[in-house]
Formats: sequence, C-alpha cells, structure tokens
Amino acid sequence: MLVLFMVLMFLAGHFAVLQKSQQQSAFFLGRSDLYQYAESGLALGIHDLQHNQSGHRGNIGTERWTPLSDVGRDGVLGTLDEGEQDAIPTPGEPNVQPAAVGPDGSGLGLLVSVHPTPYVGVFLLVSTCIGRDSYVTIERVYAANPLKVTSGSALSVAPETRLLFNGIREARKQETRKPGGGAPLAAALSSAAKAVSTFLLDGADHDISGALNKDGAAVFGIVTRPGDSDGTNKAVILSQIPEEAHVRILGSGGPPSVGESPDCEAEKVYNLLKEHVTERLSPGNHQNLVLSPQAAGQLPVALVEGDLDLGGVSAGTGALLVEGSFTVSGAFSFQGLVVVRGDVELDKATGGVQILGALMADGSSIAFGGSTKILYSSAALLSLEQSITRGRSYSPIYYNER
Amino acid sequence: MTAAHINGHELCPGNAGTTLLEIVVWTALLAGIGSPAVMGFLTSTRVMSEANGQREVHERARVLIHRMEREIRLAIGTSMETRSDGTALTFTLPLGFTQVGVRAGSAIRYELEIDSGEASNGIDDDGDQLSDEGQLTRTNLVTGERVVLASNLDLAGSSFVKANDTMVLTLSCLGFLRHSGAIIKASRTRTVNPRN
Repeated sequence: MLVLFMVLMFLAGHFAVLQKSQQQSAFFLGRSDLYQYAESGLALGIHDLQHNQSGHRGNIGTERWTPLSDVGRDGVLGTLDEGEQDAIPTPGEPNVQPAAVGPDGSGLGLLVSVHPTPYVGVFLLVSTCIGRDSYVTIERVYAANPLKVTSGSALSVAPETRLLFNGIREARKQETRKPGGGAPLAAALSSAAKAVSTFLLDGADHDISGALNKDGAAVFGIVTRPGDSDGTNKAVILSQIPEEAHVRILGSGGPPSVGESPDCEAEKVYNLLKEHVTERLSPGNHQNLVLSPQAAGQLPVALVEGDLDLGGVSAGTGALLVEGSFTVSGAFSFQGLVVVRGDVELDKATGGVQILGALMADGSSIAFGGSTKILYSSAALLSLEQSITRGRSYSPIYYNER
Repeated sequence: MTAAHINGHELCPGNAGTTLLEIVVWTALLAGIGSPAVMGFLTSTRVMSEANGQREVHERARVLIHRMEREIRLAIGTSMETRSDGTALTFTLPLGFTQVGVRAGSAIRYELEIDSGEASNGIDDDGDQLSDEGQLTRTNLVTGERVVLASNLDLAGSSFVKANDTMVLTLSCLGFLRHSGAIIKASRTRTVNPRN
C-alpha cells in the first residue's frame, strides 16, 4: 500500500509539473494568437474605413460606444479600474459588443475602433482581441496617402490643345473685314479688350471666398507638359494667346503666366479621382445642376462618362470629371477641380463661368468666353484632397501595444 | 513472563508484552517495507525537483523571448542593427507619432555577454558546472540605464540575426540539475517584424 501511495505521489508530482509547464506554454501560444487576431482587426478596420462597406467607418463591435461609455472593465464609473477614461473601448464597458473571431468555440472576440488624431487625414485604429483568460490591445496610426489632384496651375492643358480666345478673334475678324472703314483699329482693339475684360486665368492663390491669399504661393496661369527641349511647348501655348489677353493670364512669371511642368497630367488626375467617385451623372444636357457636399467635409466627386452640357445656372463644389466634351451654355460656378478629357467650350456661356480651384483639360481645344474666370485656389484643392476618404489608401505610420 | 497484577487483577488481559524475537521480526519487516518507501519518496522528490528545474529553464527561455519579441515589434524597423557575430542588437523605440511618421525615442541595445570568470573555450572556467555561459543585458543608450535580464545563457546557442526586414531571435537558457548533475538547455527562436 505504501509503495503504491508513493508511486501515486510520484505520478501526481510529475503531472503537476507537466501541467504547469503546459499551461504556461499554452498561455504564451494563446497570447500570440490574440496578437494575430488583433492585427487582423486592424486590417479589417482600415479596409472598412477605406470602403465603408459596413457603414460603421472602420468600427467593429464599438459602433455604439461613446466617451460616456468609457467606464472601464468593471462597467462602473468612478472606480478607476483598467480601461476607465482611457478614451478607447475596453471589454466590459457598455455599448461594446465584441465580434466573434477565430474557430468555432474558441470564444475569441474582436473590438476595433477608429479615433481622430490632432492631425488632418491621420487616424488611430485600436484593435482588441479578447481571449478566455486575457486580452491584448494594439493600436496603429494610419495617414491618408497624399492625393495630388493638380499640377499647380489655374489651367492645365496638353501641348496639342488649341486655345481659342473666341471673343478676341471675333473682334479682330470684324476689324480685318472693314479695312479703312467702319470701326477704326483702336476701336476694334477696344472691343477686343472689352471681350477679355472679365476674362481671367489667375495663378495667384485665392482663398475659398475667391479673395487673394497673399500668403499663398502663386502658380502658373497656364501650364503644359514639357516638350523635347525646355520651352518648346510653352512657346506653342504662348503663340496662341492674343496680346490683348496677356495681361489677363496672371500668376508666376507672368503676364502672361505660362509654364511647363511634368506633373501636368490631366489623364493621371482623372484616373486618380475616378477611383473616388461619389456620384455619376448621365451624359448630355443638365439644367441647373448642383453638386453639393453629401455630408460635412465630404465633397462630391462627380463623373460624367460622356459629353456634358450645362444649361441654366449650375454650381458645385468638389471635383467634376468629364470623359467627353464639356460645354457651358448657361452660367457655371464651381469650387474645386474640373477635369475634362474632351474639348471645352466656355465661350457659349451666357451667364459667365467661374472656377475657383483649377481646370485640367487635355482635349483638342478649349474655347474661352469673355466672362471665363479660372482662379487658382490651393485651399479649394486642399479641401477636395482632404475630403476624399472613400477608396483612399492609408499608410501605417505608428504602431503601439497597450 | 507473567502478566502484571494489582490486588489479584490482571492489568492488561491478553497482552503479555513483546518478545525480543518479535521486535527483531518487526524491525526486519519495517526495514523491508520502509526502505523502498523512503527510497521511493526520495526518488520522487528528486525527480520532481529536476522536472521543476527543467520547467524553470524552459520558462525562462519563453519569458525572455516573449519580452524581447514585444519590444522589437515596437521598434523602428530602419533602426535595427545587429553585431556581425550576432551578440548584440540595437534599435530605436518610438516616442509617438507626427502627421507624417513615427517620432524616434530611446535607442536600446540588447547584448549577450559572457560571464566574468568564463572564457569562450567550451570549459567550465568558473566552476559553476556550466561552460561558456553568459547573460543578456538591456541598455538604454540614451539614459545609460543597464539591466541584466537573464543569466546562465548558452552563448553559443543564442544569437540575434537580421534577415531583410525581420529579426530572428534565438535564446538558449542553461540550467544545472543538482541531483543528477545534468545540464538542461532550453532554446527558443522567434522571427519578429518591427512594426514601426
């Protein structure tokens, strides 16, 4: 009996030691799993933030959590327990419902929450994976990747685009048809000057209200891509601008302010913005079109996969992408970026055209009317860049474990 | 032998005491049964002690690598440097973030150092039954704070190797089992990606 007892003791001791070792090993392995699931949570959160498929903007299991819910693990305010007043959802707090993850029966839960940071376009994602006997919380800061939506000019054109200053041409034609008679040259020039009196391509920086921003850097009034040698394409553009219009093309190095930039790529910007389209308009004529923000800080990116003819009084903000030609036959006022892949006809506008931001076009021609105003505004373009979150890519910039 | 009597009454009826022969027989029986029991007890105690010793060595290796793994996950990846012989690892921890990236914080160095009194010669120079053992230290290069995280490491089996963007940590802990005189070695390897 005694020997049997001793053998049992021996076995029990061995079992206890083995079990303790296994428990520790399982704990560390389990924690390693928790980290992996928590990292998956970050990936899910950022994907949802990009595409907002769930409608919860990256939050998983924490959609209803508010700062008032921040009472800690025990769910009781004022005990200063773990997680209380730490500004992130903690398991055990009200309005927190972990989403099940892992194999069936694993009992693992996941919480992901998205928080703003002091920086624009930078978000903090916190992911917590809850296991049976412990949980891990990791956090990662993501910054929206830069979205350059303009080459830095009031008007960007392709080198082969013909610039048509129709009002001025017409005045000149009238003058040449009446040599020595009718309106004298001075009067004809006066007529031409009148035609361009409100025409303005201004690369000076303007604020959102359209007023000059004295602190902003001026860009070119017109910019095009460089040719085989520097200045070739610039000369082509310059040759198309009547002298009378020179003083109305302002900006860096002007008047007339014309330059070259390798970033002048309407197609590139068009394709970039196309990935972030928020509304699609049918091609054809639109009367009194209004493009307004869908939500605070969310500017529309409108796409027309064809020709667009705007009649009546149209206005908008954000980005307008036109696959075909763009004609304004009424009045048009826009704050943001207009990108046109086809011809642009602004000379038919009966009520004037004002674009506060920039226009990019790489069709075969642009016809300006006497009342065309394109005022560069870095603020308007920045607002557009910052408002684009849907489909926006993010880069991780910081990682931490709590 | 006669039974004890008081006033003619037998004090312990039926108990006539123990004869020498009986004592000898009982002693022999006790020795025969007790010795194995004592031996069994001693053996089981020794085995448990050794098992515990083994467990402790494994536990030390697990905890050490877990601690290092966690800190290296937080490290700034581009700051990771290892010594060519794999005995030291230096990196920078983040202090927070700015709009464009991580803000650098303290530089940390993990180092495998041979014990004083030991030489890397495969011999137990200091007479502690372990040969070529060393310790793992963590030094904050900014503040100069140095902490010994673990001793009795098998330096030959421990290393820090940088492979592209990942860090391969191998730590091998040693333990001496007093009863059997055996030397226990527990190794753990982890591949870690710095996240910052």
